[in-house]
Amino acid sequence: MNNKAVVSVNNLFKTYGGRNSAKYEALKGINLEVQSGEFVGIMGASGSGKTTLLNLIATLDRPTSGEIRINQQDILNLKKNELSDFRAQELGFIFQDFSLLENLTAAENIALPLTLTNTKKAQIDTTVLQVAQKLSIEDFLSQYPAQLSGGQKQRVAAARALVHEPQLLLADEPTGALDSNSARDLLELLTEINQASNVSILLVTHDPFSASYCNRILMIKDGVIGNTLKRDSKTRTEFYQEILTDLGTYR
Amino acid sequence: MIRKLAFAGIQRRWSDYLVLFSGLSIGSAIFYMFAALATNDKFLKANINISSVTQVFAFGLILLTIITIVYVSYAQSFLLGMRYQDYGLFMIFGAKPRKISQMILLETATVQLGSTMIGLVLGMGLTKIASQWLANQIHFPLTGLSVVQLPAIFVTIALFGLLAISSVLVSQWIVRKKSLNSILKANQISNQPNQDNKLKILESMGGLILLGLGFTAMMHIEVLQLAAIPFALVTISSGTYLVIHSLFSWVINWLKQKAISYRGIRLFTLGQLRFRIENYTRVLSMVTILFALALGAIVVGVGYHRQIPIMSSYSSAYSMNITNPTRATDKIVAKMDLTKNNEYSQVSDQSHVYLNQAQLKQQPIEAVIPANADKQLAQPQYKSVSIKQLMGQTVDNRAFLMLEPLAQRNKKLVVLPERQFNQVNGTKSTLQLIRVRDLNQSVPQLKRLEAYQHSVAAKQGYEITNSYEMFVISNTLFGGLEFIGLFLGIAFLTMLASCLMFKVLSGTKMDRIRYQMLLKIGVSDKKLKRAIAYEIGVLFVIPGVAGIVYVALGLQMFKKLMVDPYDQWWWAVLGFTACYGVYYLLTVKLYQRLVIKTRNPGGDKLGV
Ligand SMILES: Nc1ncnc2c1ncn2[C@@H]1O[C@H](COP(=O)(O)OP(=O)(O)OP(=O)(O)O)[C@@H](O)[C@H]1O
Ligand SMILES: [Mg+2]
Repeated sequence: MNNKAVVSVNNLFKTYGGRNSAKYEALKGINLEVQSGEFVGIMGASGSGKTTLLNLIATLDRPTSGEIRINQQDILNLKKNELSDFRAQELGFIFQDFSLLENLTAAENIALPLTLTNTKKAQIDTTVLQVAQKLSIEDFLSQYPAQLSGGQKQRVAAARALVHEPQLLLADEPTGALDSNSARDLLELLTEINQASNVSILLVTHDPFSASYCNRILMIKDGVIGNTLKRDSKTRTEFYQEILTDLGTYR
Repeated sequence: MIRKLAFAGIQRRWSDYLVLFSGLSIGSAIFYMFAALATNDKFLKANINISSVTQVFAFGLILLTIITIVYVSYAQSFLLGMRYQDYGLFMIFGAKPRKISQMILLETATVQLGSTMIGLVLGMGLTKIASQWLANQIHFPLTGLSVVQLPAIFVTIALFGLLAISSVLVSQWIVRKKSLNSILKANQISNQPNQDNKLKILESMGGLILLGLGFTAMMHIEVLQLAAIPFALVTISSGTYLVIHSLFSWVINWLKQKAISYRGIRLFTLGQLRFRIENYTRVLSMVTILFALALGAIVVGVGYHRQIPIMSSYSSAYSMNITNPTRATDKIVAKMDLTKNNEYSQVSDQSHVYLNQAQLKQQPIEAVIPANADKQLAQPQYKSVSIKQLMGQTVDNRAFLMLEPLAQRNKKLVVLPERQFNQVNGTKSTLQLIRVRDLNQSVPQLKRLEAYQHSVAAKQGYEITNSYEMFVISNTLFGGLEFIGLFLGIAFLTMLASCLMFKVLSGTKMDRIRYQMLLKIGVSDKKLKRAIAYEIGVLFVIPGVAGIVYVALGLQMFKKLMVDPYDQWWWAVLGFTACYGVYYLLTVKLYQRLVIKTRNPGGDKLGV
């Protein structure tokens, strides 16, 4: 196993239901690795198990069997409270619906992961400002989410996901609620951050355009990983075409 | 189809509906309890010795009606909060607003009418239990109290029926008139809290002035008479509103700047509280006023309870007099907690009662040292009565003769030296005089002893023989007041705590999203639960503390009506706070369950 793997998943199974309800096998033996600094996409049809996989990696749910290591740490051996701390320190999340807290200002939303690790206020203030400048949202730091546009909200969400410098950023359809311009902005931003600060990104998406920003794409179908597309030195547009053709033949 | 959907909705959220249903049942039960008293003229006139008692109760009923309206509207918004999204969804699927209206009607009617019916039955049961228990506690026979009170049933059904109709109309109006989008986003936070500090200062000044006016009016009630009460209610209510509104948000704003707020999810908790200000100021000030009223009623009620035995003790040095004690009376007396128990031999002829001087020297007759009216808080002090005083034309002479059987009372009292006493001819008898430590406690035994004496105060006009008789008479005078105090206090407490509970619970739908989100980004269950306990704690503590302060000030008013309203009032506060605390815990538990517990683990439901 590569030492630099941020995520490594071995033979992962997830079965929903049980005792009183019908069983449904959502994941049937997934194997994957994400290297440090990699930008990996997961694509697949609706119901193929993408969110299930992401939730398992995010430690939000437990697999039926298999192994998940994040940063060499076997997360299945962690207790509930340790899992919470693990999420707070090692992971960053971006969701489709932004999931900002409407009762906090943008700045306070971004500060949240830092307050969870009890960072000093002065330190928090400077860090939040730095991240905000990087994402060009320093002008609306004192606004409440209700006063922001969708794209702005998603950038605030990205800032919150990155402010504590997590090892791994997990994003499930982050562009799903954005118009195409805002989506492009966000994806470019993610790419930039991925290259500049070496944070690994795992992006779940339907959308070939979003996927074309990744270094590598895993196609998931009926709970197993089908084929893998690698961008290598192709341009984004070439990669986009490749994804489209692949989707056409794969389906 | 529509009926099916409506009931499917109820089934799916069974536990939430259970909370709502039981809340509404309790609401109507308490309303009925109160109405059963207030509409029972016979009961009020027979038991409560104040000419304006009917007005007092009418006033109480109006107050309770207002609370009930607020209460039901919170409960209703809790229900709608649960259902809005479903309605929105049905409308997306193409359900006509008319169909949705039918659904609302069906659901509301089922829930509200059902709970009113159950509440009525519950109310009758509670009336029976509560009145019996209270009557036992205060040794006060309630005459004319009927559990099934037709006008009360009518009033309760009318009020809750009207409320059901108006909440159906309001919800239907919302569904018809508001856009689909706003229905889907109902309950979402929209308005930004006001940040202007100068305005806040002005607001709290205004509030404080109103509070000052209200309390001044209460303290000078002898000038303003009854008008002081509505005046104080209005000024204090609005003053409370303004102060909470301004002070609350000012404090939170201030805290948010502080470094201590940047730990864990304190910022989030503060944010939650701050956004609730607009919504909660009204409830919080209402609850404050109710809290003060309820607590005040209980303090005054308990005050009377404590006061009656003490006041009665001043009427005579002895609790009971027994002429010619027998085995039977000895047996009763043996079981009592006494501070004095003396027997005196006496001989009586046509016009004299003779006492033994030696015996009187050994165990002198005692009399109460009279206290100033405003100092009658402690048990009375006693002094020995000299033989000269006992034989003269004195109060002490009269008081002693009152302890004799009726036939002896107009004879002349003569104290003889032992030798002469032994030679006097006449009927020999023994007079046993006892004094109990606590009248309240010894009532059952005293009652039995009294039966042996055939001397009931009522039969002899209002000349008091012993302190037990005084106790019985005072109880009929003040017991009614005490009963109202306790009853009102308990009814109000239940209502106000339920109001607060529903207000908090009706916000869970949106809060759930927030708390789930925090769980995801790595806040542990434990921390979230603690945060919830804090958050709701603040909402409960504010009206609680303010209410207690108000009672402390308001008791001033009773200085002129009661011996010492402050004596041991802390006990009432403690008891009250304990009950209130139970509501707090219940709310926290329910809230935690609604907000943190994951319903369906895994997949899209939990997460993304
Ligand atoms: N909590 C659950 N209980 C039972 N089955 C579930 C649960 N969550 C998901 N599933 C099932 O598991 C399968 C995979 O679901 P998942 O949410 O991972 O799909 P997805 O790839 O994210 O789809 P989409 O692109 O539509 O979001 C689906 O068939 C779904 O019905
Ligand atoms: Mg999904």
